[in-house]
Amino acid sequence: MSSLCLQRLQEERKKWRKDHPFGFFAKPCKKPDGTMNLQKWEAGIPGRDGTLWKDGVFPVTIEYPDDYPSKPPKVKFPAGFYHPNIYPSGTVCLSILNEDQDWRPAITLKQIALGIQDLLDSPNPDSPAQEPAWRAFSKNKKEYERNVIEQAKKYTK
Amino acid sequence: MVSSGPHSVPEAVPLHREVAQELQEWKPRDLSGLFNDIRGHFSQTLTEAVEEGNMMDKTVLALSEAYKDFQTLQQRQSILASRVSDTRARYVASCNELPEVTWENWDMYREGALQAPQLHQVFAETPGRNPTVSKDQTSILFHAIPYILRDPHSVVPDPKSNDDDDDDELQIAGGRIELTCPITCKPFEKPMVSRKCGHVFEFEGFQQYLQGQPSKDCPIPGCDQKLSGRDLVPDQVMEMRCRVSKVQETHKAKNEAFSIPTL
Repeated sequence: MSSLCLQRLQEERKKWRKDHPFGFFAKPCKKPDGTMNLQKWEAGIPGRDGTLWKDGVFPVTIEYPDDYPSKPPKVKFPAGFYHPNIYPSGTVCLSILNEDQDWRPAITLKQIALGIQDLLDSPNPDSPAQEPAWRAFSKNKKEYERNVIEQAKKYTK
Repeated sequence: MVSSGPHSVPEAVPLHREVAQELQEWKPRDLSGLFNDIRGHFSQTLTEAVEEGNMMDKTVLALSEAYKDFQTLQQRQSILASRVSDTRARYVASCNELPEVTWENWDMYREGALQAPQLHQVFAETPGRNPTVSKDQTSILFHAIPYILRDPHSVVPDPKSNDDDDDDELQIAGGRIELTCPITCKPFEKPMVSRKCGHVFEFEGFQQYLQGQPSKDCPIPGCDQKLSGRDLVPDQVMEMRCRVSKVQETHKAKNEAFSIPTL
C-alpha cells in the first residue's frame, strides 16, 4: 500500500468519526489477527425518508485499491441486491466511482455514501446493471415498488 | 535682453542620426529584480512576525502600511519609466522626420522655418501610462493578511478597484477555506496552487496522484482543468493561513492552561 493511500484512509476515518450524515455508519474491517484493515470498510446506507427505501439500512462493503485516492474505491452491496444500477455481484455502477468517468481524488467517503443513498431512489435507466430490477423499473413500476419495499424490510433499521 | 528676431544660432537642432540610434537603443536600468528582492524581504519579515506571535502586535499592521508605501513607490516608478520610454520614442521619431543640419538649411533652423523638438518639452507633453497592476504573490499575501489574521479559514474577497475602496470595512465573504489537502486530507505543509483553476494541493499528494503521467484531471470533482506539475506554484497565502492557525492554536492552548476556572 502506498503511503498516500494509508495516510489518506487514516484521515478519512478521523473525518468520518468527527462528522458523518445521520443514520449512516462506516468502519474499517478487522483482520483475522484483530488489527484494523483500513482498505476494507463495512458501511450502512439508510434509505432516504419519504422514499420506497426508507425502512432499510443497506449494507455495503467499500474496498480501497492500493493506488487510492488516484483510483476510486469499489463499493458492493450483497450479491443479488435489487436495484437497476447494481450488478448481480453487488457492485455499484455510479459515475463518481468510475475512474474513467467522474472519480476525483478529492471525493470523500461522506460524498460517496451520500451519492449511493441518492442512487437508491434515483436509478439511472440508461445504465442497466441487472435484468430483473431494470426490467421491472422500466416496464412494471408496481412490481418494482413492491420488490423494493420488500427488500427494505429485509434490511430494516 | 532677449531679441525677438532670428537667433544667431538655432534654438534646437535635430539629433545626429547616429546619436538618435544610440538613444533609441539605450535601456534604462531594469529595477524589477530589485523590486522582487524587496518583495521577498517583505514576505519574509511578515512570516517572522507571525511566527513570533506578533499578530496582535502592531508589527503586522506597520508592515502592511510599509508595503502599501512600497507599492505606491513601485507604481510611481512604473509611470515614470513608461513616460521616459514614450518620451524617448517620440523625441527620436520627430528628430528623424527632420533633415539633418547642413550649411544649406542652417538658416532655416536659425530662423524657425524648421523647428527641432526639445527634449524637456517633449517630456512635459508626454503623459504617463497607467501602471500595470502587478499580481505578484507578495501583493496578494498583503491583501489577504488582515482577513487571515481575523480567521485563517476566511474567504478573501478579490481586491476591489480604487474608486470604492473601503479600507476600514473588511467585508468577510461567506464560506470557509479548509487548511487540509483534498488529496491527502492532512494539514498543508507545502501547499501548491493551480494557476489554471486556483485549487490548492499538497506538493507530495499531487505528485503521487500524477503517478508519473505528464498531466491529469484536476483532483477536485466538477473542475474540468487538466493539470501538470508545472501548473502548480507555491501558495504563500495558504502557507500563511496554516502558520496563523498554528500560532493561534498555541496561544489558545497556553491561555487555557493558565486560566483559573471560576465558579
